[in-house]
Amino acid sequence: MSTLTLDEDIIAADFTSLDARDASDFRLEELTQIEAEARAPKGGTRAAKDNATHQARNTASTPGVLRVTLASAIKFITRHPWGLYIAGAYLALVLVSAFWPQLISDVDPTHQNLLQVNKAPSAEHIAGTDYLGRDVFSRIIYGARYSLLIGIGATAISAVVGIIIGVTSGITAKWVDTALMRFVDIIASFPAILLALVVIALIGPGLTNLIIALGVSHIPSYARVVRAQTLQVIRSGYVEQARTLGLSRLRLTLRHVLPNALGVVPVLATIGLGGAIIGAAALSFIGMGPQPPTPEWGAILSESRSYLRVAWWTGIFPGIALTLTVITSTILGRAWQKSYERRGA
Amino acid sequence: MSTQEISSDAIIDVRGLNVTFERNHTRVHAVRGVDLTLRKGESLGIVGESGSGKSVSVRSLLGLTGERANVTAERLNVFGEDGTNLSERGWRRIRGGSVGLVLQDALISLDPLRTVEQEIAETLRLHNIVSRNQIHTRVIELLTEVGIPDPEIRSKQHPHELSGGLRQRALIASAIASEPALLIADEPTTSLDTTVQAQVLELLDTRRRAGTALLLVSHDLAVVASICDRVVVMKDGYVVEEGPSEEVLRHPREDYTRNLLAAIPSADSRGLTLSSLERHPLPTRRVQRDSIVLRAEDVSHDFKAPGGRICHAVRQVSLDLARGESLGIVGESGSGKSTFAKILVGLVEPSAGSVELDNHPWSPLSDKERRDRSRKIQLIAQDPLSSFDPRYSVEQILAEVLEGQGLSRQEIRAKIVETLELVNLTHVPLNASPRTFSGGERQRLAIARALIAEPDVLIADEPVSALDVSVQAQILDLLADVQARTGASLIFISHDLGVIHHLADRVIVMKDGFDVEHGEATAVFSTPTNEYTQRLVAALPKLLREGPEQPNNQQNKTQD
Repeated sequence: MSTLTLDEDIIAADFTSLDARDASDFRLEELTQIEAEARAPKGGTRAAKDNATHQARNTASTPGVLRVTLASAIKFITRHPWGLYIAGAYLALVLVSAFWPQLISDVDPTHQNLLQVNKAPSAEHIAGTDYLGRDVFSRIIYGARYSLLIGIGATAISAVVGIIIGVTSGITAKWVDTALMRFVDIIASFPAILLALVVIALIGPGLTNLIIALGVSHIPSYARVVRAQTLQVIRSGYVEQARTLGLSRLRLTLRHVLPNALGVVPVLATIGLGGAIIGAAALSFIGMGPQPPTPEWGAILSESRSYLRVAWWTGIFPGIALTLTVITSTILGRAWQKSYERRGA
Repeated sequence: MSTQEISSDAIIDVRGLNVTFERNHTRVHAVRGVDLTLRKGESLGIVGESGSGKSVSVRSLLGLTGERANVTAERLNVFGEDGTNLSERGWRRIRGGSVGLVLQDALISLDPLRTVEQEIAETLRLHNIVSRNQIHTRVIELLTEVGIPDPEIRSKQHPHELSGGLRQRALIASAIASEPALLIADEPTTSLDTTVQAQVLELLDTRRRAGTALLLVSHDLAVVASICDRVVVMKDGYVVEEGPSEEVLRHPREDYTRNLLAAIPSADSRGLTLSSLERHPLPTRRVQRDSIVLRAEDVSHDFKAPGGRICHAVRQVSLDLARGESLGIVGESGSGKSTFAKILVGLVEPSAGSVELDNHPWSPLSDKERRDRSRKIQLIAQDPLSSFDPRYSVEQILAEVLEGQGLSRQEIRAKIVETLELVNLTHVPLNASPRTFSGGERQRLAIARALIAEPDVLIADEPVSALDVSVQAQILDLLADVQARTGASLIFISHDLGVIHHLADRVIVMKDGFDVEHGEATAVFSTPTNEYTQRLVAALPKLLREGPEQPNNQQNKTQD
């Protein structure tokens, strides 16, 4: 990812720099990079390959059409800074719903009223009612908590485990590295949803298990990126310089390697959050998540399926809430990533 | 094959050229009212430091300044065409047709996916220079002309399969394919080794003598002086001085040019300051010949290259470094000088031989056993910025060195301030990030970090290679000054003979990992005995073609 921006910089510098010497600085950097890779082809190429496979996997996991529309929407919104504010405001609203749902809706999301079944949106029920007469709006608001909890929980698990694996791979002996990375390859060779299903089949459905299952299935991307970053940092000039000061290995790792290698993780996690929320909804949809009457978004969508023809609002509104959450978290993540790369890390 | 009949013999006639760039709502004035004239068959050099606007000026002659540039001129005549309102199609007729362009780095300028032949053939096809079935013959002719051996084989190769010198020749071959009346070369030799640079310059000179006009852009006065009739000196977008090469170099009228000339390190500047117009003697340094700080004995380093081949980076190199002494190590890229430096510092284990620091073993020890004495030997890297943790401020960078010595916070702070004073870096805030610094300031900070450890030995690996001449002069003066004050020994590694000649007491010349020649610097450079050293010295571009004027001068006025 960072090499890509570097290339752009070279091109930009080539055409607009005030002097070719400015551009030559970039070239020098690039040449030293090439040289470094030539000198230590083991780590360099492997790191690059990991990055490449990781990216290929990322793009392959979203269906084509959806990706195109999502990409253009994201592009449009990120071009205009106010898009960021809107995204931020929406996510803030989701956060409020997750922590203090009673502030937004005082209707009990599980309260059934069989006299008010499948009622269209009205002043009383602004998003209508479902097949048991429950208020759909209230269910969406209270459901935010579960979607967010699962998303954040799963992302945290994959990030933490991924960091441990990635850093260990990067700094230890070659056989440990090989063993860990082949293990990661095994996880990565299963489609994420399938792997999560396998885990749930082993440990049973439910909220906690869903979080664990989703967390495990997303470990590879974190492990690979962190490993690539660690290898890069270890070979950098400042780690070399710190070694000449006689810093111990542990100190060197804790002080210079870790902080610089992990800089990219929060960005990855923000982008990954959207994926985790979608994954959670998908698994709940097929009944592997929180059990009814819990108002989880995926579960709500699943229940609405049979009534879509007579009561579209039971499916459309939770669907919009879910989609917007995923899009906004991705937008914020991308914006963060951009500013991070511009910083030149 | 020029497409235009030229009425007068001026092929380039520029008056009042202005170029501004718009970036993030700030306007940068890169070129301010520059006049340039170039006649048929003439050679003109443009010299200046980074940011002087020399490249932008030349690019605007080809309409290559880019979208964000705003180019205006009273007159911008290029081969009789009015460049101020020329269409893109018109520019294309000039580029590659009437004008050939050679850029700095052929690895970047040549398409990595195309062979040398495809690259050159494209120019031939675009401008319909020879008929289709003659293209191959013409390509081979051109490659032979620029002195590429085995042209049949080389023409089938890709840029990455060629050495730097061959790549630059291939690039020149594609630039002269259309037999342009003008060849523009923008820093054509900057990333090349001295001996290769000499070959490329000779090639350009051959073209010049064959009647091609030449516009050579360089930061290096010696390069320009060696082949150009006239020189233009630029600074901050203005032309500072202009005139025949000889005259500008011998009797510069402007202070800026004089400073630029004075800043060039060479044999004549030994023991004198570089960064001032008048040369003052450098502070004296005490060399204790009988006290050896660092000794290396028959140090070798081998490593396994991809494919299982064993590479010998360093082969049986020895040295004795006396307290307070300056030792230069000179060599071209790939000569093993940087690996040798890393062995001395302890970053790389030698495959054979040993290093002693202060008469105690150093190289066979583990990192842990070296820890107590590791501050005694300090490294100054070529690229200072990459040697600083990107998250660290000036204070953190310097404080890390002092850690674990039982100093109080105030003592650390006092020492930092004192060291920053030593390297003339008092104006920067302690919490600033070196990212915001200029190249010279960064290198000062790197020197400060080395000095704050109070080392016995400083090892500087190409510390001035990325800097402009005037900044280089300041850094070299600074190093001489701190060495005199602290009594530290210095090992200075460079590809630049001029710099080494300027500062080193003794010198080691390295090639392919071997120490091919060593001895007193003046002796090695004035009467080199090794064939390679002789070639190296001969390859230096001479600042003045004949004997210089000042009586105390020796024969080599040199620069990188």
